[in-house]
Amino acid sequence: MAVSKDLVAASATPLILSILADGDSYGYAIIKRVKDVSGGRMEWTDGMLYPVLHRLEKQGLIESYVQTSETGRRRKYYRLKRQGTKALAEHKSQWMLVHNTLQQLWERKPCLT
Amino acid sequence: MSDLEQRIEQWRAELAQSQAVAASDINELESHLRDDIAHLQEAGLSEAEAFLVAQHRLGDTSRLAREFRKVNGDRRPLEHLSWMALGVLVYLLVGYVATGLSQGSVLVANLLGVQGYPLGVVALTARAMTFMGLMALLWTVLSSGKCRRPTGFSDRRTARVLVAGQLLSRLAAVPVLGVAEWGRIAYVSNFGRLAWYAVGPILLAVAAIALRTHALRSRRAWADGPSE
Repeated sequence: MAVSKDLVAASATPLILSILADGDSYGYAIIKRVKDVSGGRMEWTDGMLYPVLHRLEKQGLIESYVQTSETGRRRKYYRLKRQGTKALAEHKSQWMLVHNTLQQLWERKPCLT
Repeated sequence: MSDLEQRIEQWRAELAQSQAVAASDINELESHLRDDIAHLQEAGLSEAEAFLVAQHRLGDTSRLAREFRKVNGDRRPLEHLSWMALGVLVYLLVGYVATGLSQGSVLVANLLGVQGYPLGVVALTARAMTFMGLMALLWTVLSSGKCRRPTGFSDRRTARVLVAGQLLSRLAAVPVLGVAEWGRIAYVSNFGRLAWYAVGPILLAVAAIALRTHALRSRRAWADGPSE
């Protein structure tokens, strides 16, 4: 089962913010993490991550810096800002609300009468 | 250049065609591409296969460009402008260093007792040699490929032709004109230089304004247009 395109797009921001909340990271590692955690069922077109990252940076939720990796390659790392932590909390409560609502609707109600 | 490097260079050029993807964006995407290629090669794919898969995963270049345009707006004209300004600065710097070195050598030659006609020869030779030397150095750096080609600066040939033209015209001037003639036309050429210093900045400013207006107009066009 693959997740629909719309849902992938909608969840991109909370996914990125959540991963960065665990520590600074760069594009390739972020995508790899999403793939690993979702068991490969959340398929992104890899390149589409970057415009989202740049938009979040413009919004002031994350910031970037360049660092040379152990292999000698220069990588652009992203770090969560205070504003981003707040935004993540907001996303979390919204997703939990959706999750709880759906769960209650889908739960089989016992028939008492 | 290896086959893989060539493919990556080609892929970069394709992305650079877009008005929206900045050089820094392309560098970031390239870093991703290389990471994925390395990962796929570890998994047993050949270099060519790994490139194809990684490129496919990264997404179609035109679609990528569209996504970047939503975030960046149309930024290439401004990048063009900054590279143009840098080029002018480097050219001026080379000119100043050449002048300084040639004047220094004239001074040294004069102190060593060289005077009159031979001093003119020293001055001219020193100027031509330093200018050509610095230009040759610049050319080597540009053609070595160590210098990352800026986005949008797709035709390195133009730069080569310009540098070659400079060198050839200077080489030709010495035997054709001779030292005495060079002295006679000095004030004409100095007048020309003065005119360039006066007109050059105005021309540059006009170009800057035109490019900026163009950039703003295309950005507005994107904002107004349907977001696909």
